Amino acid sequence: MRIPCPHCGERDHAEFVYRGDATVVRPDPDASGAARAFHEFVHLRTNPAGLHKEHWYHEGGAALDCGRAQHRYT
Amino acid sequence: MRYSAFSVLKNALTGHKGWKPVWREPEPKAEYDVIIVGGGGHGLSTAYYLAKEFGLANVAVIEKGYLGSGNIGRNTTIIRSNYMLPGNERFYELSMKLWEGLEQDFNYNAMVSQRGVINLYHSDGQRDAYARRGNAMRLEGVDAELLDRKALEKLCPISILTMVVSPFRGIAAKRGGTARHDAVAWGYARGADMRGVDIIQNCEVTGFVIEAGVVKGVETSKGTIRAKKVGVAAAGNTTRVMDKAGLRLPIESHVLQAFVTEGLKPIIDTVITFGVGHFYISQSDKGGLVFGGDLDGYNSYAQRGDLAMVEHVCEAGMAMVPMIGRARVLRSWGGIMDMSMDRSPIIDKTPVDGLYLNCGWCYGGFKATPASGMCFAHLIARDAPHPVATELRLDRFETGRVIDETGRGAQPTCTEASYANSLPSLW
Repeated sequence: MRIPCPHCGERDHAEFVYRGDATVVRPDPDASGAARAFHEFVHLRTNPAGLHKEHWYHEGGAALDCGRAQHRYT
Repeated sequence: MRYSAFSVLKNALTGHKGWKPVWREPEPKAEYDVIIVGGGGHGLSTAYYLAKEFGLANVAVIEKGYLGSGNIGRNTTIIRSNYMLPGNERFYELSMKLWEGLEQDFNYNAMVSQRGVINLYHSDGQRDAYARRGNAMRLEGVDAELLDRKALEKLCPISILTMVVSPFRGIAAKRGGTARHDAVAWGYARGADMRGVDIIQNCEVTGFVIEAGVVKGVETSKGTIRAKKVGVAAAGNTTRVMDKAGLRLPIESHVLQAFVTEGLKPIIDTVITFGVGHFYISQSDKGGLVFGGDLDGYNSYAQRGDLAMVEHVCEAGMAMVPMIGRARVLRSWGGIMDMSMDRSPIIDKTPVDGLYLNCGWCYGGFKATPASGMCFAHLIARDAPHPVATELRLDRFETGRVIDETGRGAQPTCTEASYANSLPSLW
């Protein structure tokens, strides 16, 4: 599997660190209900068997977060 | 189907034409007391214990594919009870005890072989972590033994190990070992079927019937089947099933690969793990070396893995047992792990009344099969958790009562180098 890094171009996925679902957003810690929101942010997953947008961190290269959407089923 | 010396002899002489299917293939009834979603090891053992221990025989097991087509047929057959935290320890020890009596209990040859599980350690930090784990196990009455080179030599053919991984020390759980994985599913299926459980294969659950917050049955590809209670034991497909009940879970699906070589003469008579390299190996009764390593490292529902992990596992294997480089890999396969956010399982009720959940088995579901079924059956039949499963709660992530054996937090893919030298993250 090869992943396009915006800085280095297409590289082998072994150079990247997987950071999971790219669609979740860190909640506001000052908002009401923050404890519940953080529980959902940290622990709960949508885990689709289908299109999954992922963060891959290019640790072995540009040290950039490279978004990538992958179809996760077959 | 019952077996006897006479029936074996008679069929041997008559061309094996007298054997009949071991379980029925019934059409679903309109209603059951309990429906179990998932006809794998955990679902079948749950149905078996519901019928045998809790007197509930009006039960159906509904399986999307064929019986045992998931992880019960895709693992590396290792059984062990070597957990550190109380929430897990008692549960896995119950499982080990059930393994020890399983074949007598369901009268089926599951080839349970207590050949011992040895975890090698290679650094002071790893030794300390193992010693701590072993002490915790012994406090709970589980056997564990820290091995020096001499003791290790007695248990394991270390002459086959490379000097690279000296100093040849480890920890042994002598009651651990292996079992014939498919036969476990078949034994439970036969035992459940004999007691009246309907095992319905090739029947996919497409939704739940929920009325006023109470589950009343399931929608399937064979129509609606009503039930007073529904238990879900769907392993890697847990979130896909529970989505239909509107629940988001602390579960990610990941692929874990395993490998088997051509048959060889006996060389390894225990299970040996190599925490530094993330590798473990045993030899099947047919002679194939069965081995594996880590998760591929990203979400996946594909029952096959990618080549980077094949290379990594083979490298680790060569680092530990260089001679396996001469063996040819016959097959490799992948199973879908329901990775929970603390790598411990969940056996609990859900916010929907009458809907029960069994998931989060991560890379260790096979060894848990008997206790998982026993505890899930207890929960469903009595509406209260089994005494050894009280901590395997669904809400423990929100309340902070996680059971995090390796202290890695909510990161199923956090593996490799950062933990390899200190913690036995893969046993």
